[in-house]
Formats: sequence, C-alpha cells, structure tokens
Amino acid sequence: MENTNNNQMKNEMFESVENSAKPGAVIKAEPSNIPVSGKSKSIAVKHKKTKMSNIIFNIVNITIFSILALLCIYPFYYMIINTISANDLSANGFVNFIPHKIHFKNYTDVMKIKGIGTAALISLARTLLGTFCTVFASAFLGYMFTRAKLWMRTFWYRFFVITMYFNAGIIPMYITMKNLHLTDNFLVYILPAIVSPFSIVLVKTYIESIPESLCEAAELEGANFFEVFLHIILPLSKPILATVAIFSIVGQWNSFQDTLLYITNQSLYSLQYLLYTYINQASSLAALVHNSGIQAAANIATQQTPTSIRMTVSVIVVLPILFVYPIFQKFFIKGIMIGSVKS
Amino acid sequence: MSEFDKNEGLDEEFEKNLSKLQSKVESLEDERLSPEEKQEKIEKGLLDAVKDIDKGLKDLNSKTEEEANSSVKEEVPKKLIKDPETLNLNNFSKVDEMGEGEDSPINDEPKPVRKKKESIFKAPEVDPNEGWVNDAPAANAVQTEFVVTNKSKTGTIGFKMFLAILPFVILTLLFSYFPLHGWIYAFFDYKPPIKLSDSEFVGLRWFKMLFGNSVQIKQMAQVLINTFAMSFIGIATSILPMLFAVFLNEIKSEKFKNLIQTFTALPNFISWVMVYSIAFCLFSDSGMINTLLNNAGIITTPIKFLDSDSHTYLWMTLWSIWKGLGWGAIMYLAAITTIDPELFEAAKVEGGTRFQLMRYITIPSIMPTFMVLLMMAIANFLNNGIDQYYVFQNSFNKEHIQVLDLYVYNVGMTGSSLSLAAAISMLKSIISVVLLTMVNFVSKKTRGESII
Repeated sequence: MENTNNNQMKNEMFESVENSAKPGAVIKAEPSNIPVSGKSKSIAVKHKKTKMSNIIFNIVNITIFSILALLCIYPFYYMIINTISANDLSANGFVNFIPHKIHFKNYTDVMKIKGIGTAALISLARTLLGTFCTVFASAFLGYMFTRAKLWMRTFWYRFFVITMYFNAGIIPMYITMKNLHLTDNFLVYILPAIVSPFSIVLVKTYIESIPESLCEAAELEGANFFEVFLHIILPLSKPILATVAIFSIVGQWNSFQDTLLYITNQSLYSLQYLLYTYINQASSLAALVHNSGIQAAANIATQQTPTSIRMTVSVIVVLPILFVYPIFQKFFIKGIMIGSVKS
Repeated sequence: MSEFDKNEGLDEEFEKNLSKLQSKVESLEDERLSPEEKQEKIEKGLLDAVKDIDKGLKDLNSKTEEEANSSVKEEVPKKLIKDPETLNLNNFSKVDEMGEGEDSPINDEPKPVRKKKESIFKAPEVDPNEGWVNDAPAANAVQTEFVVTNKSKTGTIGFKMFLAILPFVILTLLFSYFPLHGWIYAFFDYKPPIKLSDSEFVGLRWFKMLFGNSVQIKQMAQVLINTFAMSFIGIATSILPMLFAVFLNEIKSEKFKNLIQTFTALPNFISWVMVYSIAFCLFSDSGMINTLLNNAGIITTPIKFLDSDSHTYLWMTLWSIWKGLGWGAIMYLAAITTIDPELFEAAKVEGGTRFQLMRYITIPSIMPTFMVLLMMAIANFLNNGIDQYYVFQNSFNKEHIQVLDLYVYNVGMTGSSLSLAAAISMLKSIISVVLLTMVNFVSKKTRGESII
C-alpha cells in the first residue's frame, strides 16, 4: 500500500518541481541580458526560486527514500526485538520500537526442538559445500573458455550458456532426479547447482580483462594450464569470485524449491523448508513445544507461543544472510557493474 | 619548421648537454679517487659485467630447457631427455602416435610432418653471434623437438583441457539436457510405481484433455489469466527500479546513497519463505497490524489480509516490489555511473535544470539496460516461478494465485497425474523458447544486438 502511495507522491512531486523549475529555461534563453538591472533582478529571483525548488526536491527525495529504506529494514528489526522481548508483551503488540525485558530464552528453547539442529546442519553443509563447488567450477570453466587452445571452445561455451534460456520444467526434472536416484539424497542440493552458466559468463568476462601476457609468461616458464589457473588466475579474480560466492551462498541458503520437490526424508529438510512447515502449522506448534518438554520449565513471562517460535526460527534463518550481506555488498555491486558492462 | 620540431631539437640539445655534464662530473669524481680506489672500481665494474653476462646465459639456457621439458613432460618418459639423439628420434615417432591416437578424429589441424632438422631449426638463427647456443647440442635437440611438436601440442593440450572440463559437461548434460527426455512421459499414462515401459502409450490424450471439457477449459483459462496478469503487472512495474535509480542518483551524499542502497537491496537476499514469514508476522490475525488496530479500538475482528482472495494480484505485486525494488535499481545505478560526467557538466553550463538533466541525459543513457531487462521479462512471460506463489497460496486465494508453474506442481506432485503435468510443462517450455526467440529477433531488428 505504502509503496503505491510513495509512487503517487513521487509523481506529484515530479510535476510540481518540474513546473517550478521552468525559470531555469528562461535563464538559458537570455543569458546575455545580465547587465540590465530589472531583468537581472528577476533572474536573481528566479535563481532563488530554482534554489528553493531544489531544496524542496531534495527534502522530498530524501524523505521518500528514507521511508522506503525503513519499509525494507523495519520488518527485520520488528522480528528481532520481538523475539528477545518478554513473550507476553510481544504477544499483545506492545513491542514495536524498543525491546522490553530482554531475554534469550526463545532461542535456547527453539534450539531444543527436534529437527532444527539437523536442518541447520543440512543448510550449513549445502551452503558451504555447494558454494565451494560452484565457485571452483565457475572460476575453472570461466578460465578455460578464455583459453584459445581448448578443443571446440566456442561450441562448448554455447553448450553451457544456452542452458540459461531453457528448462525442461518441474515435472521432467523430478522424473530425472528420481531416475538418477537423487531424490531423498543430500547430493541433490549440490550437484545440479555446480554448473551455473550465469556465473561462468561473469567470470569469463572478468578474466578476459586480465592481460593475456601474464598467462603466456607463466606458460613459457613451464606452467601447465592448471598451474596457471591456480597460481595466476585465481588470485587475480578474487573480486568476481566473491560475487559468485555471495550469489551462491544466498541461493543455497535460501533454496526452498528443491527440498519441496525432491526431499521427503525429514532428516534432510533444510532450514527454509522447516520454517515453511512451522508457519503453516501455527496451531500445532504449541503441541510441538509441549512434546519437547520445554513447557515444564517455562514461566508465564517467557511462555512459548506459536508466534514467538515462528519468529525465532525466522530470525535464525535470516540472521546469516544479515551477517554475510554487508561484507559482500561492495563485491557484488562491482560484479554487477562488470555484468552490466557486458550486456 | 614547426613549433613542435623546434622543441624536439631543443630537447635533443638539452639531453646532449646533460650527458656531457654527467660524464664530466664522473670524471671529476674519478680524479678525486686515489689510484687504488680507481683500480678497485674498475675491477668491480668488470666483475659485475661478467656476472650479468653469466646470469643472462644461464637464464637463457634454463629457459630453453624448461620449454623443452614442458613440451616433453607429458609425452616422453623422462629418461629420454638425457640423450639428445634418441630423444629426437623417439619423439618424432611418439608425436606421430599421439597425433593419430588422440588428435586426428577430433582435430582438423594437419598432422605433424617429420621435417629435416635444419629446416625447422630456427632458434640459433635468431642470434647467430652468440656462441652458447651452438655449444649446447642438447639444447639444440630439445629446441627442435619443441618446434616440431608445437602444432600437435596445441591439439593435445586442447584435448587435455577438454578432458578437464568434461566432468562439468557431464553435469550439464545430466541436469540441463537429459531432463528433456521427461517430455516423453507426456505421451504415456505414467503412474509412478509402474515403470514407463509398462505404461500405456496414449499419444496426445493429455494435450487434448487440457482443453477437452468445459471444467478443464475454465480452470486452464483461469490459470492462464493469472499468469498473464502477474507477468503483465510485473512488466508494468519494472519501470519502478529505473525511477528509483534515477531519483536516488539525485541524492548528493554518497554515504546516504550507499545506506539507502544497502537497506533497500536487503529484501532481495531473503527467500520467499522468509518473506511469507514476515508477511505472517505483520498481517496475520495475530500479526502486528491487526494487534495495533485492535488495541487502538478501530477493529474488533481481525482483518484477513492473507487468508482472503481480495486483491491477490495487488498483494503479490506489492510483495515482489518490496523484495526486488532496491536490487533491481542496482543494475541501473551501475549503468548511471558509466555516463560521462562531462555530459552533465556541459548541460549544467547550458543552464539545464535538474529535471532536464534527468529527462534528457540520465534516462536515455539507461534506456538500453531497461530494454534488455524488458525483453528478458517478456521472454520469461510464462515463467513466474513457483516459490512466491507456493508459499502464499492457501485454500482461500487458490483461484487467483495459481500461475502456470504452480498449477503444474499442484497437478503433478499433489494432484492427479504426473503425465498431465508433464504435458503442461512441455507446452510451457516450448512456448517460452518460442517467445525468447521472437523477442531476440525483435531485439536484433530494433537494437541491432541480440539479448542471448
């Protein structure tokens, strides 16, 4: 809702400032008339007006962007302060801006729920392993496709990149995974993600900007293509590999569809899928807590409610992203710039 | 004589003078030194020169050897290198073998021809005055071998490189190309425990069934309307990230700009499950909005934001804008930074206002990026993805939230028939590829470059 309001505001502002900005055009039309006193006065007034409109524009612009930023960041803040505030307060909607009666019992309790530990491990494992594989594969393939000697290079490059533009669809994919015995298998998280055509294109574009003479010199020194890759290309392409890594980390950690499609074994559920089932089983969550034996120790102030569990799990799920995100931000903006220059 | 030439003449003169002066200074310094010191200095200089020459020779020698080794390493057993003659002969035959064994079927380069030693023996001719090359027959031989294998070496190494990427080729085959075989299930009556070979071949039955009876047609039509509506709204709102970027660019403070960018791009990095979780926190019966309104006494019964079918399209659009706006703008911001700042300066000098700059410089400069993204959006018209709609779907809003991808999932995985779903899947994929090709064609015609 607020989004549309903002846009309306933006448009109104656009029109109003455009109208008041017209004096600038007058100045442009008569630049040589400055010595004439009357006109110069009017120009000065108009200058003032332009300045005023500029200031108004800046204020409105900054306000709108602040509101947008707040809209994006507040939900996370809201969830975090509610999970660390006393549950009876947060359940009644008293915790909206500042946390009250801070405690971390929600977290220690949620950790005791059966399944969360395994799910967190699965999510962590697939993120680390999957990211490592994807980054290595993208770097290696991106490098190989810059080597002119590679047998049928153009053909293989197309062979990889064209897969960006078609897919067989959910059902054929499911049938394939079933035939390959990858359903209910941890490898289904890793193997299909290893070759990522988009990352390959990114890395290849970047490596092409590294002077060819560096590789040639190393080859003259007797290094084979793999040594060149390991000792020259890898260290030099760190920024783009960081970009690929962040994409991969986020993709792996957030991935939900593959668990939904291919996994029925509960011990292989990822954190995302577990969170989804929790949100959907709002009513049965209380029972879940009862069964875990947490209730016995809980007093009235920190009593578990379905909402508090849901929120706590959500925060646990989103926290790694919140941590990783600022670290890599500078890298992926750089990476996107490379990508946009390419396209 | 031009000004420039004169200057050059002056420069030359200046340099001459300079060098004269330098030599004078040196000679003066020399005069100040005692005879013993002079002797020492000369000796040291000579020693240094000898050392330099020695080092250069060594470098050259080792380099040739290394080169030779690198070419020999993979093809010849190490011991052969010791004897230059055997090395030479053995290598020729070895190279031929390699050529026939690995190269010929895959490489159109000519096979290595056995040539006379002299004709290909090029290295010494480059520097005939340097004795070291002629004094080192081993190096000669190795050098020869290097030149001969050079051609076939490219092929062998190329193939070796291919072997290195082969695992990835196989992975791509398995997970991108091989799944296409799943389309044949659309022509069978496949029920999972029974094997495909035991299933009944039904031809186009599923395709006919899609439009067979009125109920099916109605459902299909609704699904298509949903898909088109979501995609169309998505394309219509794709202008927002561009506006976002243009207006954000008007903020002068770099720090504030970065902060806004960081905050607004954040939602793009959380999953749709997480978005749903946030939606649940804020808009469910016991969520923030309902609690606040209730506490303020405005409502007595909670408003059903999520469990209703009112404004489903609008809600879905708002959530995707919330998630994607900041991130989508980054692309445009990157494009804006590539605009030549002189363009803005010139326009400002001419008296252009802020909005004129935006209207006539910034927006036209990022139009190509917008066009590319627009074309991609059109090509992906049928691919809404499943995550967003799957997590937000419930029994209340099912009618309007079910897009093609979700419908395929619901029919195939939870519903009646895997084969029917495969049929829809197949139709969708084919239409998508056709769309992409068409968009690409249009892009080629209008912009002169393809988007693929």
